[in-house]
Amino acid sequence: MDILGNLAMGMGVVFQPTVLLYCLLGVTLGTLIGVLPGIGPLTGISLLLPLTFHLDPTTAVVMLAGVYYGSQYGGSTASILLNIAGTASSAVVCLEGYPMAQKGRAGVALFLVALCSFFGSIFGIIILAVAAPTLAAWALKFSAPEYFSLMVLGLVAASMFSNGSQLRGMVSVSLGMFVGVVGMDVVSGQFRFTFGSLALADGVNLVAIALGLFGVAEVISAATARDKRGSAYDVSLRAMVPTKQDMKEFTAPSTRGSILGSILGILPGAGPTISSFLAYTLEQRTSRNPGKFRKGAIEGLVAPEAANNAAAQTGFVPTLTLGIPGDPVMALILGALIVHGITPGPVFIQENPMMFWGLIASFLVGNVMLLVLNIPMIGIWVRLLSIPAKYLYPAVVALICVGVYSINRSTSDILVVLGCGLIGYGMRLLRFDPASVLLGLVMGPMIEESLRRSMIMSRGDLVGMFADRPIALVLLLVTGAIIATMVFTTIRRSRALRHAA
Amino acid sequence: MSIPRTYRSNLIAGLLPVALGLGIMAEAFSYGMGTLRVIGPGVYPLLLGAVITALGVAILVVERQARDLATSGDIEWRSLLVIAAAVLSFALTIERFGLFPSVALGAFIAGWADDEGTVRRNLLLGLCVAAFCSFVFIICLRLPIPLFDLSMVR
Repeated sequence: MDILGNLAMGMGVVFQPTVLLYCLLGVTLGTLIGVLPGIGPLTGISLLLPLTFHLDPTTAVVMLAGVYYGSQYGGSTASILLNIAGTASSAVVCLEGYPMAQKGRAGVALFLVALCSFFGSIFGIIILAVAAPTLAAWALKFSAPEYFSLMVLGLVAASMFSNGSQLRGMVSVSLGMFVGVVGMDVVSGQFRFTFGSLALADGVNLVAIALGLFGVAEVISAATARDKRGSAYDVSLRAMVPTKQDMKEFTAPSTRGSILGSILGILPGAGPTISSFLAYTLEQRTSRNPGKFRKGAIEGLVAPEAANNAAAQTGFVPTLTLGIPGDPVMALILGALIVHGITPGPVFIQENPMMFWGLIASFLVGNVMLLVLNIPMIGIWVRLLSIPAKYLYPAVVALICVGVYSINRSTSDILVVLGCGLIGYGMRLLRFDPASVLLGLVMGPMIEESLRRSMIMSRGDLVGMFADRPIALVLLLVTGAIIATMVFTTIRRSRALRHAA
Repeated sequence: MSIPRTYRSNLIAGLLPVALGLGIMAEAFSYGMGTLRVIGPGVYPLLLGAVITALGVAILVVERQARDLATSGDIEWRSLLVIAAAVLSFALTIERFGLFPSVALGAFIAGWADDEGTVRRNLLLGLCVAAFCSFVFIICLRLPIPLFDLSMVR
């Protein structure tokens, strides 16, 4: 396993003008998306998907990935300056970053956050480079039953971590899986749930659903919201220099956050958001001086940001080696890869070494670019935050419409976007998490296929098959344990509610 | 006795999955179940429908009284109707009039979601957004969408 040699090969892929350009574009757009509250990486990647179809696969994924980990850098800017989260994973940064800004230390906060994001990313990339080939080799032993169990486990774990109740999270996931069924079944030729419509025969367009559920629904929710803009903080380079005490308090939490984020990113269901929350909680619980939290504690600022960046990088491990996305954004990137004709899985690294190592090399290059974008150029982003939302949202609607139209030149796709927008808005009102729908949508067909294959392999004797396959059995048992835990907590919670009422 | 607000949205949140799940199961039956060894196209949707129905029932039982899960706000009708109108207008005009007019119209309509909008401001907004989209999609990406298509106008 010659990592350095492979990385050198990857660098060769990255240092071509087109790839470098799209990498820069990706990380810049990612920072922009992260800085602007209301538009997160999910919406941003959905908006860019139509544009990437015209690129070659490696360049496309380099750019989309750049948007993803780039947004983890920018998200904390709004958190620090406005006390509004730029991305969900940066919400925790509000707790320490905003008090720091109020004390006049906004520049230092922004600098430290950029630094620890870089730290976390590099850590995550190293883990990715080491773990992915190892995991892929191990996963070659996987067959249909293992995949089935693993994917079901991933979906159940993801619903456990989704916003709102776990029950509703599972409904969202199942809904996504159902939408994935719509269309013609390749094995039997049966048209399922198309109700005679030819437009649905090919299935529902992933991008249209994503843009509708997130783009349109988000705009509907936010267009009339009154939000504060404009800030008068000193973010010159001189104001960014941290004190020695700051730097002393910086190293250990960053490391802890990076380790935590790297591990959580690999697990299905957990992503940057969970990692940042857990890192913050960890720092709070293990601090010798818990009183300094919520007042500008460096540990609480730095650990979550390192964690979310690390998780964003290691999130690629299950996606590329197993073909199983860890969170909805990964599901979208996975969907984009599939559209380009690439199926990630254990053989992905073997069959596409240039793409894999090129991607990893692009992560390294991209993060260096981001360091430059987020420290010297921070003033641009700060000024951007003073644009009122009401001018932004019509532009987003226009981008969504033209973007989705450009895929198939079909107006019915635009109607799908509208329909999904209304459904997504309704889901938000009813406290169903729309992001989980994407996970179900991408993984649903894969789960059906592995179920089919497992049944054929077992020749009808399910018990015997699982007896021979301990890995699959263990995975299913873990899934069962998680479901049992969820059932217990739900029963206990509802009993408490009934006693209180 | 009126049902308190908190209950109503939770009821809907539970009933919708039940209705959907039952509908899915009903339709799935007609797709053929196949055998245990070679499962038919109806099996997977049937399972999904069953899961969704069960989850809906669980929501009805467990979360009926959950205040923290009740609707967090009213339906924002203004936003909803304006944005829907904007997207719809785009869908209807893109193939008839080309990119620039349809985006301008769509953005103009969307501007009304903000209740502080004026006709002049929204017109300007429409034109700027249309120019921006033309730049991104036609000049930068060179997509084969006509910028102006006035063949319908005589």
